Amino acid sequence: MTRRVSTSAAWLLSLSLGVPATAAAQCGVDRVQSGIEAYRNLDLVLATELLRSAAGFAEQSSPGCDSETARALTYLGASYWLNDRPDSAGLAFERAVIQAPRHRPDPLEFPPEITDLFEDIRRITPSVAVTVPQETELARDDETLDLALTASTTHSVAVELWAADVGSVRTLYQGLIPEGARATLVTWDGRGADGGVVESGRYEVHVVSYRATTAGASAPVRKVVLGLTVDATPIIVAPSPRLEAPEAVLATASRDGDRHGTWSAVGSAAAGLLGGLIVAIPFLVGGDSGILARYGVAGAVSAAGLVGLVLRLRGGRSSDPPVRPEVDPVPPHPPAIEGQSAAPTRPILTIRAGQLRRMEMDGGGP
Amino acid sequence: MTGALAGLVCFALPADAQPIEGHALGPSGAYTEIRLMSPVTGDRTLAGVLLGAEGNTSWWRLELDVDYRQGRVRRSGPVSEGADVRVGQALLGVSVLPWITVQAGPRLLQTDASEGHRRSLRWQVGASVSAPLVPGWIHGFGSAVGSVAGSGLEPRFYTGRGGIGVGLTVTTPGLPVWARAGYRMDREGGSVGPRSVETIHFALGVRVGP
Repeated sequence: MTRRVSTSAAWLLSLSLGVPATAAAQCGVDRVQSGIEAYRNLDLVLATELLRSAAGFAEQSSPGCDSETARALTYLGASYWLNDRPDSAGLAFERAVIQAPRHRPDPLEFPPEITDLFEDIRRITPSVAVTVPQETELARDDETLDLALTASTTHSVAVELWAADVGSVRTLYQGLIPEGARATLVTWDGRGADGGVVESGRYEVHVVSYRATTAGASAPVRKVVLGLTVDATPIIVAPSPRLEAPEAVLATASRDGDRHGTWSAVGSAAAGLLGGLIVAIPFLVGGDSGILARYGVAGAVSAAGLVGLVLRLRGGRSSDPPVRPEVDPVPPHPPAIEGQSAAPTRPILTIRAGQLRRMEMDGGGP
Repeated sequence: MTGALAGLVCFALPADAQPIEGHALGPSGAYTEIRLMSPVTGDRTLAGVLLGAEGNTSWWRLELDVDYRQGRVRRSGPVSEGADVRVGQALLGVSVLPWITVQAGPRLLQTDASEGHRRSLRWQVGASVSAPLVPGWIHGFGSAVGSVAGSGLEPRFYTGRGGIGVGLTVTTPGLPVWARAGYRMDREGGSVGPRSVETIHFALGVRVGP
């Protein structure tokens, strides 16, 4: 586990040097800044054109540009307001609230008339921001995937877990979430409605925002969909008095850091098929026919790779860390204790966050 | 000739890097078949069983592997030719990635043949990669190694020492035993013409320790 974190940290460190510049370009920060400069110079016509273009660009960019989009839309709304176009200003502010529910205009930058209008729009625009770790591992029953929900205004939401080919799997939360900077935490323990751990596959978290209708009912107005990829890895741990907890075994087994994800089923087969290189080595290196017995080794390596492919596709084997070549391999768990049998535990779930989408629903409007 | 043979035996024996979690010590054995292909002397095959022991210890990304084997390789056929071989090595490895290890260390080779007793020391540098083929049971590996310096017995007529190999290791979850099969080819060039050494390596080991 330590090695995996160290490796990941090294990659993050190497990438972080270029991330800020790359992210700024993707979100069109330069465009937004140009529009803001025009606004501050009271060139409202130019500011409107620049900010409209910048907001559209940022909206179509990655979800990570929500803050920049909201910023552009806020200045755009202010430009509309100063141009005596309050309806357009309200629409711009509404878009800003939907993009970034926690966004608030700077009271030092905008006059009270604009901040008050923004607040009025925000109170009647239910919207939710969803924050989730990029990757979460659930190895114990007390571990959960934490979804942080931040609302633009207090309203009712329904948080459901959906499977790609099944539909709704489980309702994670249904009720009110308050407005403000403090997030509402919705957790998922990796289990379905029947209490069983979910299988590997693609899932979605649907967060539906409701508004109260004049008839006293609730109507869905918009939805945030977060894609998840779940990789379930079963593991068997043999009880041993030398281990204080199964985590020790898991930590040991994962010290090489490649327990999940890296070696896919295709990778296993490819590695095995590369064993066929054995056959070609003499031709590549020596240009000779070579020892015939090497065909046996090549066949064994290729067959092992194909068997591994079949087993991985069936999802029935655990992913052990790769063992270094010619290694005295260490089983991922200690030798079985006489008189005791191996006890299966819950599968380990690796949950990776995917794309986030926003969509309006039919319940929108007065 | 025996010196050349001994030198080639050195490369025929695979670099037994055996890092594991923690510590281990155990016996191991290997059947080694060496095929010498030379346009000058023709094709010759020598084979034999080498027995020995090996140990390793690892901490974080560092691994230290020590092993020793001895035995006799013989040439089959009407002309009897053979040599008693003793080989030992110590490899210090650094895992640069979870599946790549860079190793370096000395390898000592001693041969006793009719021509006399000879000893050589080579410094090896190599890298190895590994992958689980059947998780928990079978792991595949590939390695490349070369000698960067040496002393003692030096087959002066041979240069460009290096070798590559692949194989697999079979483990039994819950039992401290493992089996390994591998193929390795080493190539040398020299004034008397290129020579290639192929090795089919089988090993069976027992792990002792935590």
